[in-house]
Amino acid sequence: MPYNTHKPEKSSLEEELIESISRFITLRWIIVVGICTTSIFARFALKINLPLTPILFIAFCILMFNLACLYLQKHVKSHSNFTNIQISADWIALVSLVHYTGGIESPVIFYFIFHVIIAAFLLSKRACYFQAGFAVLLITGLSILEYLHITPHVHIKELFPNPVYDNGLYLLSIIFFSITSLFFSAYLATSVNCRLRRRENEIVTLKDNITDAYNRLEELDREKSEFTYKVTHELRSPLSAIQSLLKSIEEGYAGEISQKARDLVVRSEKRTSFLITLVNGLLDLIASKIGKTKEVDSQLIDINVAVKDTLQLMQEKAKSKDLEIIINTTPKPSYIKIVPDDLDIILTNLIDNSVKYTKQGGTISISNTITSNEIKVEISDTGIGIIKDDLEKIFKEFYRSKNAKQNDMRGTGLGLSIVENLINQYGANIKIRSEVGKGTTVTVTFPVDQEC
Amino acid sequence: MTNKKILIIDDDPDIVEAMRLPLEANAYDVITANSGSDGLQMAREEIPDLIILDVMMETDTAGFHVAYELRSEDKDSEYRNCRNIPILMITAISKQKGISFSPEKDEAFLPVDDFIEKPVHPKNLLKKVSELLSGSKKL
Repeated sequence: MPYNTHKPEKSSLEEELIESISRFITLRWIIVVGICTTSIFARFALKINLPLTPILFIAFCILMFNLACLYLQKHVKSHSNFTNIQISADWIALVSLVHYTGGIESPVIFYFIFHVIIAAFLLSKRACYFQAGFAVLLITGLSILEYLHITPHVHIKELFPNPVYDNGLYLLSIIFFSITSLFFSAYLATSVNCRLRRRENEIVTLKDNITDAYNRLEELDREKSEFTYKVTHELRSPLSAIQSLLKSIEEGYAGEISQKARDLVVRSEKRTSFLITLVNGLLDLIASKIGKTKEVDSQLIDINVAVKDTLQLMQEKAKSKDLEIIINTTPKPSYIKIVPDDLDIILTNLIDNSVKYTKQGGTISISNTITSNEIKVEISDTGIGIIKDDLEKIFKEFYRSKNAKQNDMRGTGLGLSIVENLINQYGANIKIRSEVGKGTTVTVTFPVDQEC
Repeated sequence: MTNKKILIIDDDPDIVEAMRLPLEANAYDVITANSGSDGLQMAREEIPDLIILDVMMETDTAGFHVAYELRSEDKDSEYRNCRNIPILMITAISKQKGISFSPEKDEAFLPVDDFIEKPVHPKNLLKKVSELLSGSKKL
């Protein structure tokens, strides 16, 4: 199922042909203008005695034909047939022009070569040779008819003082070289084009294969994440049962136990508590990574209120460390569009870090600023700071800075990874400035939805 | 004065045990049911003073259905006598904070009186239970 190649390739070639036909039609407008101006210029400025009426009539015919093409372009089914017809019609127009500008002597005959090249790029190899053959047939036919005086030869004396039609051998040599140059051009152009097309096909196939492989890989990665999510999720119930039971024992509801046993239960309970934090962190991390569908939609949330709510829940912890918390939020509400739980996770993790890594009696200040296109939240502390080399690494999963470990043994090393993943989802960004021993400032910038 | 009767509806026997111990130690009578349907039947027969209800049982939302049944406005509901029993709902650890599951926000569509999160902390449980029974937390 994954490797369904060759499918888009065909349509891309077809699309390319359609595009080329459009360009071809545009080119024809220019040719009409070219024929008119050149012939009028030749006739009146250079005083060359051209038969202006038939030439302008041919230009008019091309114009009408092109109008028809423009209309039909959107309605035809087979674009290659359409192209074949157009090119054939062009040959006829070109031969008529050649006829009225001096027959086989006419310089217009060079344009046959261009046309063969165009045919080579638009058509298949076979069709191109077929078109070249048709052109040769027209040229030779015209020369023979004119040579035998079946069709009157238009002789332009100003250009060709010595008519070649009287000289059969000269005529033959011109025909010969016209034919060979036409076929040679057809050969060169088609072979170049074939090689280009082959290469293009290879690239398209390659691109498809890469896209397929990438999609498959993404799918596998997703499956793996889903699996991890489920496994982690399954860990929650037994863990909370364990902790609930341990809590009951610890608080003496299962009867009196020795001080030593109580100590051990407390330790077990603490480790279980850490495991639960880890499991919750992992669930948040995976959910933020795979963009797990949220149970709740995004809402407009006043970030000032969210900050106050988060602080409320950390009051106890902050009080126990005698931390001074300064809030400097904007007087009017600053709304961002976000899933409430996501904002909650972001703020909780960031403020919790500040509380955790700021020593007794330190200060944490939270401020925000609004501009027309962004809302900036800044959480600053006078904590232990982050070692310079660690600044880039701390967003990595499970990475914990050395001084963080020294300060607090426990910690999952997941918080900032979760925050970063979530922040990326909302097109926001996070910056951390820090100086060891002085403190850390985290700045989160949310883009503001133009609609709000 | 007789002891207050508390019905715990939860399919996890360990969680039930962890809650039963502190509750019994505080002179509450505890009865238990390990599924939503058993719980409903027991509520109807025993008319407890308080129901502690787990959300996720047979299905992820079995607890919600129990709550809806118990609080049904239907006059002929077989649980009409249970309508005024306070319900304390146990939710999985939604978040450390649980903003998404606070009674102020969800009461409108979820007819329970308060929430408690797993893992259950005995002190917290006892506090909520006594609040609900004394009616101070009643909405």
